[in-house]
Amino acid sequence: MRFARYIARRLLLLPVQLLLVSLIVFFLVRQMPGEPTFLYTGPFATKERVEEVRRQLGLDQPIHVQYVRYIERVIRGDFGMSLRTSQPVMTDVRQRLPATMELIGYAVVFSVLIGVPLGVYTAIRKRGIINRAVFLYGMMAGALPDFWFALIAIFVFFFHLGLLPGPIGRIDLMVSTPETITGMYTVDALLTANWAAFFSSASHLFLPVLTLVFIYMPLVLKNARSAMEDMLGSEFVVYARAAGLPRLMQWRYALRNAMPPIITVTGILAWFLLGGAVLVETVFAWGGLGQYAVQSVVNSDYAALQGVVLLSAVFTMLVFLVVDLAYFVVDPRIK
Amino acid sequence: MPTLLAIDDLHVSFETDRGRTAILHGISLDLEPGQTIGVVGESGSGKTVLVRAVLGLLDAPFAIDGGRIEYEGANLLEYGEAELERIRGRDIALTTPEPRKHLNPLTTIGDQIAKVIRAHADVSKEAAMARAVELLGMVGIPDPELRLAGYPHEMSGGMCQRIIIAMALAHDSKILLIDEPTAGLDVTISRQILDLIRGLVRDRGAAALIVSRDLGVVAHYCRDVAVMYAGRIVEQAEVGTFFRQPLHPYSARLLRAAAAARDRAVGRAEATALLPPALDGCSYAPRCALAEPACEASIPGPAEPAAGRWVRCLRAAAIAHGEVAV
Repeated sequence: MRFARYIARRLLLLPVQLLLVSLIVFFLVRQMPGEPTFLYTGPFATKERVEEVRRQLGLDQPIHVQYVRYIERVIRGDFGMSLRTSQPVMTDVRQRLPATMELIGYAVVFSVLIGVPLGVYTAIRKRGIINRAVFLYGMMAGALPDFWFALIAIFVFFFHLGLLPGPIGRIDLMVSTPETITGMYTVDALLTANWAAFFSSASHLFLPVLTLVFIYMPLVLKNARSAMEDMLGSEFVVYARAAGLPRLMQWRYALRNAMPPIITVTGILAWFLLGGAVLVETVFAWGGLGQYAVQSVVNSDYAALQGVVLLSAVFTMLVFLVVDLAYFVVDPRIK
Repeated sequence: MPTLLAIDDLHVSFETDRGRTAILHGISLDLEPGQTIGVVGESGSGKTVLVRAVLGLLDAPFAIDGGRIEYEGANLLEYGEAELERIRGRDIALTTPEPRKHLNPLTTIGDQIAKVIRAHADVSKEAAMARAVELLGMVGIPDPELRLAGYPHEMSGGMCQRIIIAMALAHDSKILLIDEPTAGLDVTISRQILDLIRGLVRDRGAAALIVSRDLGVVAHYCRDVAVMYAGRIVEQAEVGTFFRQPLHPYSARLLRAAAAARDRAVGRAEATALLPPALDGCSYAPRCALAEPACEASIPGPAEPAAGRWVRCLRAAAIAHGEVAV
C-alpha cells in the first residue's frame, strides 16, 4: 500500500520535473551559436528570405511566446519537426530509441551478470590468480577509450578472424528486419520466431555489447567487490560466523546487504550509457539515439535536441524510480 | 575437576603499517564445568580479543603467535575453518556487545534464530521456529511469536541483546562466552538473563566466561575473577577473596573506581593520567603508586600467594601482608 502510494507520488512528480527540464533546455538551446534557419535556406539566402523562414519557424516571436507554443504542442504529443531529417521528431525517436535501448540493455544486463559474481568472488577470495587478473583488468579497462576498444574488436573479430559481421548497423543488409513490435530486433525476432533475423541481429549486437561491457563493467565489478568486502567485515557476518553458520550462509547475508550499492551503480550505468554509448554507436553505425542527439547539437536542430533531452530526462527518472523500488524490495528499513 | 577449556600461554598480535603490536602476552586461563569466570579490565585490555580468539574468529590483521586453546583434548588453534564451524555456536557460544550491529538488518529475527538452530540441528524450519519462540521466552521477550516476524531495526537495543543471548543459548553449549551482557539492559532484565546463564552453568555442567566492566555483575554471578591489563591477566582469584583484598595495585584501583562511581564521585576518582602501558617491565608501572625501579626492569612472573589465586606484581607479598597500602 505504502509502495503504491510512493510510486504514485513519484509518477505525479514526473510531469513537474519534465516541465522544469523543458524550460531549462528550451532556453539553453537558444543560447547556442547558429540558428536552424540556415538548415532551411542554405548559406547564400538573401536577408529577406532568412526573415521569411524565421517567421515561418516562429523564431521571430519573443522567446517566452515560443516556449508556450512549444509546450502546447508537446502536450498534444507533437514534438515538432527535425529540420535536419525533415521528419517529426517523434518518428525519428521511434526509430532510434529501440536501437539504443537494445544496445545498452544488453550491456547493462551482461555487466551485472558478469560483474557482480566476479566482484563477489574477488571479495571472498583475496588471493590467487583470478583475483589478480580481475584487479588488473579493472585498472586497465577503466583507462581505455571505448571507441578504441571497439575498433580493435572489429579488427580482430571481423577483419582478421571473420567471425562476426562488420560495423554496418544492426542487421545484415540481406536479412529483412523483423516485424516491429518493440523495435528491438532481437526481441521482435524472438517474438515472431524469425530465426534468421534473430541470429543476424544478435551477431551484430555482439561486438558493440562486448565493447560496452568490457569498458564499463568494472564500474559494477568494483562496486560489488567493495560493497561485498564491507559487508563481509561487518559485525553481523562476524556474528553469523561465531554462531556457526556455514560460509555459504555468511556470504548470502553479506551479498544481500551489499545489494543496495550494487543496484545504485547499475542504475547509474544505465543512465550513463544512454548518452555515453554515442562513440560506440558511431563506430558501429548503430543509428541510435546518442548519434541523433549529437547530430542535433551540431546542426542546431532545436526541436530534435529538445525532444531527445526530454526523453533522456524521462528515462533517467524512470531508471532512478526503478532503483528506489528495488531498494524498497531489498531493505525493510526503508519506509 | 577436569578442565573444559584450557587457554595456555596465548599470544596474539595485530599487524599495522608500522609493524606488529602484541595484544595478548601469554594469557592462561582454565575453565572447569560449573565454573563462571568474570574477566574485567578497562577498554583495550584485550578482553574481547581473548574471547574471539577462543572461537577462531581472529583474521588478519590479527595473528595468533603462540599458545594453546585446549578443548576436548584438541588444540582449537590447529582447527581449520570447517572444524571450527562445527564447534562455534554448538559447543562454544558467544554473545556480543552492540547487539544491534550483530544482527542481519535485512532478515527477520525468526529467520536468523532459525538459521542458527538449523546450523547444528537437523530440524525442520517449523521446528526451528518453535524452538526460537521458546528461546525468546527464556530471555524474557514478551509475545515471542509476534517478534519472530520483526526486523532488528524495530527492536530496542536491550531487545536485540536478548535476541543475541537467545541465539547463544540455542544449542545447550558447554562453554558460554558472554561479552558485556548487561550493556543496554535495565537492571531487572540483566539480572534475569544472568540468573538464566548461572542456572544453565550449574545444571548442565557448562562453564561461562563473562566479560564485563560491571564489577557488581562479576561479584554476584562469577565464582572467579580475572583482571586484565594491557594484554595480560594481572590477577586471578576467587571472587570473595578478591573483593576483600585485591593484591594487584590495578585491581585495587578498579575496585576503588567502582566504589567511587557508586558514590557518584566519578569526577573525583583518582584522576591520574591514562598513561600508556609500559613495554618493558610491569606494564602497569607507569600508573602505579607503588612502583619501584625493579618494576620497570622485568615483567613480574605470576606469584601464588594462596591456593587458587595468583598475581603478577613484585609488591604483592608486601601488599598481602599489609606492609603497604594499595
